[in-house]
Amino acid sequence: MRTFGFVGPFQRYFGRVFEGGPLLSVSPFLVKNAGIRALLKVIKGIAWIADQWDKLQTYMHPPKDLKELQDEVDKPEAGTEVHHIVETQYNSDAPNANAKVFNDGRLESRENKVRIPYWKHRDVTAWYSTPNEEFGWQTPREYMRGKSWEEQYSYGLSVLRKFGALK
Amino acid sequence: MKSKSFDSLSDEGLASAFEKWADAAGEATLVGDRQKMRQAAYRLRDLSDVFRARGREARLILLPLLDHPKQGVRYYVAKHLLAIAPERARSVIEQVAAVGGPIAGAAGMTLHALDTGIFKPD
Repeated sequence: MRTFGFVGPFQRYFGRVFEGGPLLSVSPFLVKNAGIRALLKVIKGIAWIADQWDKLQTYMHPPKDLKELQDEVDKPEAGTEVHHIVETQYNSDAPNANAKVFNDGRLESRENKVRIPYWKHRDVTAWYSTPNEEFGWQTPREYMRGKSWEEQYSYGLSVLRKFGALK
Repeated sequence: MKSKSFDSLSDEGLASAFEKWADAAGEATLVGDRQKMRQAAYRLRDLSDVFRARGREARLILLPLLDHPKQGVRYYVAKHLLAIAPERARSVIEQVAAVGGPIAGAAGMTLHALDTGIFKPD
């Protein structure tokens, strides 16, 4: 049972908000006055939640089936982003980057794109970018690069399942 | 601290450093800080290398950390101990994977890597 899925985005924010910010450096008076500082932090927190509300809401969405996620690519929704099941790697210099190998339109095909919650997309992207013991301390992205389309597609679906976006 | 420095630590000191960096990796994952995630991963790699060089008995010092209150510490310790205490370590990873959130996603992918033979713990 997934009970603490909401923790991630909040922790992202509250881990940083109390370090202060531009608003608190407006004047020396504000910085010195503890009451005003506390009030500004509360206002800043409320403003952040208002700004992030859609992303927080979508993070709690239950996993959906693949067709649903693919169909939603054409229906923009606040708090979501389009994710490529097989990574595009448009900015990679690697000779076997997906953008160079799969340059026949598959990367941008309907099959390869899904709309998923914003924060789940961030989670997946960060995980793909981090060296991992499972792959001999390569990143998952480095490990998958050069594999067949089928292998990368199947793997990409597993990632979406494990990160709670796909049923 | 580089792996050379980890070499000079006692087994207990090494376990303490592993706990610290496993916690750092977990916290960075929760807040989505990619730079810190990478830094912690490299430190855990260096620590794992030193532990492996010292052998099974040294690595068993990490066992109590499987009951650590923090999810990230339990996960990274369990991953390191898969070859030493496979059933117990896998059970911890399964529990972490069931909770939800980014560490759970990573734990789920560890189970996938084990089950598909991508990951062969040593």
